[in-house]
Amino acid sequence: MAFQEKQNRFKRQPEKSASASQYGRTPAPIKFSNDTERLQHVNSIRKAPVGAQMKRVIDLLFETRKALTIEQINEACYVDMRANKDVFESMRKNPKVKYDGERFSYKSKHDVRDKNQLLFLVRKFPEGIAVVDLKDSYPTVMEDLQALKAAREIWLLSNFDSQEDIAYPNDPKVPIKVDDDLKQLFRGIELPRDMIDIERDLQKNGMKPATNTAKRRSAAQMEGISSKPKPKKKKNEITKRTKLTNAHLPELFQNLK
Amino acid sequence: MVDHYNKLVKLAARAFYDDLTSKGENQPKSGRSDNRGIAVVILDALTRRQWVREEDLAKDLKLHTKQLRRTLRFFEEEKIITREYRRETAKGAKMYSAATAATVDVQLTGKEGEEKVKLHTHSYCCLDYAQIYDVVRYRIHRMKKLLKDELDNKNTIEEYICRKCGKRYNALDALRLVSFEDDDFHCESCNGKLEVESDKFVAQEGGDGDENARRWRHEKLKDMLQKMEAQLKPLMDQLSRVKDLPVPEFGSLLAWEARASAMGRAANGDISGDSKMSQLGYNGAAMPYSGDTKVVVDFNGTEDTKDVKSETGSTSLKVLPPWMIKSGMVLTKEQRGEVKEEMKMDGTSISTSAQYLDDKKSTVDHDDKRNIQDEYIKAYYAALLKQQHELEAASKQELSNTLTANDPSSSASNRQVGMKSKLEEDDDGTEWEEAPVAGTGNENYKVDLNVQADDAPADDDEDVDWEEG
Repeated sequence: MAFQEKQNRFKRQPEKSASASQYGRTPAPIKFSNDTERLQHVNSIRKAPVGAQMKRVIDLLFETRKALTIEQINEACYVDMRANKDVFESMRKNPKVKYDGERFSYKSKHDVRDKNQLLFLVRKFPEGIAVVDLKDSYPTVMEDLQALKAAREIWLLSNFDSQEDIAYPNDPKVPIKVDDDLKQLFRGIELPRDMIDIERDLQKNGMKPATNTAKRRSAAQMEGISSKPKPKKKKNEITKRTKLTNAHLPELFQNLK
Repeated sequence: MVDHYNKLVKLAARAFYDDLTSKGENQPKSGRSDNRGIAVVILDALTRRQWVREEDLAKDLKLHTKQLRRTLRFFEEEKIITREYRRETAKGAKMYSAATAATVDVQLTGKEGEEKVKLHTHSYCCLDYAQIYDVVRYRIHRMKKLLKDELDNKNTIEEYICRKCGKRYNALDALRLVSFEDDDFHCESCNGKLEVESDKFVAQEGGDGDENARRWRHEKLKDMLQKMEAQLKPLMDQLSRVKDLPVPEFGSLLAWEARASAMGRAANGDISGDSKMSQLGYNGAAMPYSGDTKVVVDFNGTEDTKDVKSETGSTSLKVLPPWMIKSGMVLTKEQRGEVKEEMKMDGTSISTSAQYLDDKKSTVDHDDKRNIQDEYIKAYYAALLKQQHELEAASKQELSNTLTANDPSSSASNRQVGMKSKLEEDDDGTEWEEAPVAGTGNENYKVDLNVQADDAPADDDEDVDWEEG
């Protein structure tokens, strides 16, 4: 933490000088050029536009995630809000900053501190919550989201458009885990095109079908909608008769039908 | 009831479709945009809805429409959802669904001169619980049967594999693969010899058909069957739980909309409906207007609430044209065009519809005439009352005169006993008109300004000149 280091350095300074005088040794003098550079840097920060100064302060608050006083902020990033009232007012009104009358702290969109709170928040949004809104909650939020996804507590989907992830809760009341080979076997069983065939098959095996396709079709005809299953379009597969532009690459066409 | 079926859908989604991605088969599945779980998310969202427009669902789930449609198309093929397509105007599309359209205060009927409105096809989707229940049972049954048949070596359809290119064929394809050179089956693409592959579950191991391989295969199938029983237990339990429950049926989109809008109106306690839409019939025919209710708020409790009536209740309804009248509509005789006959005092009848005049001018003249007539009638009845009072006064006077004449105490009588005397008549020259005393006659004079009286002959002795109205 840069702020902590600076604080420690600041605290250590009088000790150093005291110990040096004890042993009769003077501390190494600060080079004038170095100090000038630092002062110039501080001056350039304080002369910068209000927005630039605010950004420095907000970045500091975001990184440290601590509530800091005006003096601490000045020490850490050289933005003097006592002298610059515009910066102070803008910071006080900023939606990403919380000011309690004495200290400034970063205010995230959702008040979340750890993985459990994160999961609790995601469960409040069954239609999904944008990860962008969660990103600034606390530093390790992205790792926690990935961990929750791995534990099947949430689903993380990315949107084509914005390429932004959306987090959806996984219902904890329906715990079921099926091996991939069983999934493949289930999905591999082809369904008849017509639902009536499924009904017949169920009846043949002593199961009462819930669907009454014949009744549905008659109702649909009365309403004027045809619900006959459309014939499945055959995929345009490459056959021997297909004219190939890259016939010189036979390895591409080993599986010709 | 629906909750049990929703749980079934959620279990089936997590059991068999949680590894589906919205990407195509040939697209690389990068870690960045790995959409595993999209199927579960969509099915979960559909358990919270009935019929929903796909654009709205995509918007709610913050997904791209293309992603959503690809998954929905897959589920339609899997017979898990039902989809319907409808051409709608932009105005109709703006509404969340037509179920809410009945409560939205929008007039859908455009002007006749308006140019043709552009129609867009919108797709709607909905979970088909009955089909889900049937398809899941069908597939699980087929899975079990397949595994058991493999265990018992009951493979009726043998499978063949080409060891060179790995292409598979079944016994049904074998007829066209027979080679006339060696009477064996040969591969179509590489002409390699086909070998029987009795078990498709362990094809990748490529057992050489010896006892160990067969035993290993048997163990694998047994393990798979046990695993299936164990892992699908929650799903099987849920299937048995919903077995005797009635299946939620939303019907077609049109039927559902009609039901939902009716329920919405009933829930609002608005059976007649305030909206313009509810004033129209199913196909836009105007329903009879029942009039606005006059609401009187009486804070002091002084006003009599009995007199509160509909303001427009008394006004007659417009006659509906015959093409607007449908069989189910409750209409008054006036609206049907059956004219109500009103009898005038002079015996002639006049229809109520004939009383409405088209020109404003004529209505103004009509009003003026009415006012004059009213004034005339008032004056006439005032005179009549006056005359009546005078008659009463005269009759009283006559009575008193006769009484004084007959009274023995009032005047000195010249009669003597045994002598006939003649009554003397007063010679004051006044002749009294015979008029019935008020209350004794048969005619009662009622002052009713709404009844037009016949013109009575004016009395000569009264100097009142009446203007003819």
